[in-house]
Amino acid sequence: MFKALLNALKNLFSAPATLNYPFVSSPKHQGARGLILFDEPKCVWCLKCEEVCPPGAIRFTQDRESYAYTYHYNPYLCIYCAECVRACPDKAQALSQCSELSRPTSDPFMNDAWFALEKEAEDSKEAVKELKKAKKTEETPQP
Amino acid sequence: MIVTKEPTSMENVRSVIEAFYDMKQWHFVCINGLFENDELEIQWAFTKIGAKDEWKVFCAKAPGDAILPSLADLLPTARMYEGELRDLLDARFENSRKGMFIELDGPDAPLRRKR
Amino acid sequence: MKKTINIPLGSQHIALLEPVRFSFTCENETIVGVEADVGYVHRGVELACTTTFKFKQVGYVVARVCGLCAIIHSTCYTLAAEELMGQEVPRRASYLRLIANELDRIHSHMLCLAHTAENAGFEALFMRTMKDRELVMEAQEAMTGNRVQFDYVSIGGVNRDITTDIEALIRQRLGLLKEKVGEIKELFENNWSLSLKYKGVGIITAENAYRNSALGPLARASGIDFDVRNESAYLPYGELGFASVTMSEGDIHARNMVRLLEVFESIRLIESALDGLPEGEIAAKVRGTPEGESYMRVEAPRGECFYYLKASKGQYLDRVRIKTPTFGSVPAMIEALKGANYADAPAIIASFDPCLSCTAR
Repeated sequence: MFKALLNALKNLFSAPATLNYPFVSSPKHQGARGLILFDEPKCVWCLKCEEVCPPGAIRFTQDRESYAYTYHYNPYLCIYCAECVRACPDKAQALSQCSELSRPTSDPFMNDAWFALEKEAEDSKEAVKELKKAKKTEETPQP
Repeated sequence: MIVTKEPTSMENVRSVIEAFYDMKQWHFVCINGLFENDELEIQWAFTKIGAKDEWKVFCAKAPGDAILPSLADLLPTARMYEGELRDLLDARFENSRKGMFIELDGPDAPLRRKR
Repeated sequence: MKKTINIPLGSQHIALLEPVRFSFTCENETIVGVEADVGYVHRGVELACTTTFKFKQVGYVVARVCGLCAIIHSTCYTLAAEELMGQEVPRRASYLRLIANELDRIHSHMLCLAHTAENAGFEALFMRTMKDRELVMEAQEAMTGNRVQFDYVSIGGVNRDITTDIEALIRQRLGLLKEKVGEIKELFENNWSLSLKYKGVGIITAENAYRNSALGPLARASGIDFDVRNESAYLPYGELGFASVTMSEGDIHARNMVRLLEVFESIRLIESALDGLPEGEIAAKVRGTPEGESYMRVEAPRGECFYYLKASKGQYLDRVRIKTPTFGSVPAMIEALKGANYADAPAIIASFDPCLSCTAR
C-alpha cells in the first residue's frame, strides 16, 4: 500500500510514457520491416517474386511487341513479409527491404488503377503467349 | 501424431460416442465438416488428456441435404460447432438454426463453393 | 406478470473490445439465462485459404485471423503443413519459433490483465500494465521486425535469425519485465478493491470445466492440468522443462493469477531457450507438396488452437479448418455467467479474454 502510494507520487512528477507522436517520430529498431526496393539492372526477370508474393503486391506487365517486362509494386498492398526478397535468385539480388513505410495517400481511385493494372498483367502475358505461339506455327513449314 | 480414425454411420454415431466419451480422459476438440462430391463428411475429433498427440476421430458420411444427429446434450460445446457448420457448410444438424455464425443476410453455405 | 427482464450486452458495448452479443435474462440482479451470438466479423478466411491462396502463402493469410495471436496461427498452420509434406525443420528454427510464441503469449496475457483491471474499474492499473507491456512489444519488434503482424514463421523454418544484439535486448527487456510483473502480481493479490471484484465471482467448478471442454487458462484456473504445451511434441517444450500452472478456485482471481504466473513461466522458457539456442541453419529447403490429412494443435494464449488440413498434392489445399480457443470456451462462459450478478458480467467476460476476430475469422 505504502509502495503503491510512493509509486503514484513518483508517476505524478515523471514524464509521460507515451510519445507526442506526429511531432516526435517513433523510434525504429534496426532491421524493422518496410517497403521493398527494386534494382532494375540486376533483375533477371524470372518472375519468382510475383509468384510467391502473398497479397500480390508485385506485378509484371509484358510489352506486346518487345516482350519486355515492366515491374509494378503497390506499397499499400505490401505486407512487408519479404518473401520476395528470399525468393529472388542468389545471382540477381534485385530486391531488398528498407525500413521506410508507405506514406498515407489521398488518391481515392488508387484501387481502380491497381485493379486495371492487375488485369493488364494477366492479359498482356496471355497475349504474348498467343503471339509467340502464332509466330512459331508461322515459322515451322506446314507439312 | 497418432490419429485413430473410426468410420461410423450417422445413425450409430450417437451411441458410439456416448459409449466412448469419458470427459476426464478425452478432450473434445471440435466437429469438422468436409464437402466433397455432393457428400458431407463430419468428423468428431477428440484428444487424450495427458498423452502426446493422441487423436481419436469419429467420421460419418451423409448426403448433402440429410438431417444430421446433434450431440449438444452430450458435448455442450458441440452446439457451437454445429451452428458454425450449419452456416458455413449448410450441414443440417437437428435443432440448429441459421444465423449464429454468419448473419442471416450473409452468404449461403460459402464452403460448398468450388474453386 | 413476467418475472424476468431481457438485457442485451453488445454487439457494441463500452466494456467489450470486440463485437459479441449476449442476451441476458435477468431476475432482479441475477442472470438466469444467457444467449450468445458471435460472428459479426466473419471474413471467410477458411474459404480464401482454399481458393485464392497457394499453400505457401496460406501461412501469411491465417496470421491475419487474429492480431493478438498471429504467430500462433501461422505456427500451427506451418506445423500442420510440414507434417503433410514430411518437411524437416532445423532445431534452431524450432527454438526461435518457441521464443516468438512465448513472447506473443506474454503480450497477450498482459493485454488481458490490463483489460480485466479496466473492467473492474481500476483504470490506473490498466494504464500501468499497458505501459509495462511495451517492454515485450519492443522485444518482439526487435526480433521479428514488425510490431503486430510478425510474418516470422514460414514453411521450412523461420524468416530471420537473431543476432547477439537482439538476444541481449530481449534478455534486458525480459529482466525489466519480470520486476514489473512482480509488482503487478502483488497488486492483483493484495489490493482490497480488486479482490472484492474478483474473488468468488464467475466460478467454474472442475466438473463444469470438464463438461464444457474448457481450455487454456480457464481450465487451469479450475484445477485441470490441461496444457497443449505438455501434450504436443512439435515445439521443444519438453526439452526446456515446461511446467504448467494450475489453480483450483476457478474464479476471476484464479484466472488472473494463472495468467500472471504463466508470464513468469514464459519468461523462464524464453531465457532457457536463449541459453540453449542450437547453432545451425534457420530454414530448410522446401520440397514437395502437401498430401493427406493432418490434425495439429498449438497452445495459444487463450487455449488450444486447432488446425485441420486436407490436401491432395496440388498447389491449393482442399480444406482448412480452424478452431480458435474463444469459440470453444463460449459454452463455459455462459456457464460462468449464469447465477452471477449483472453488474459483474463485463468483468467475467473480460476474464475469459475473448478474441472475437479469432472466433468469427
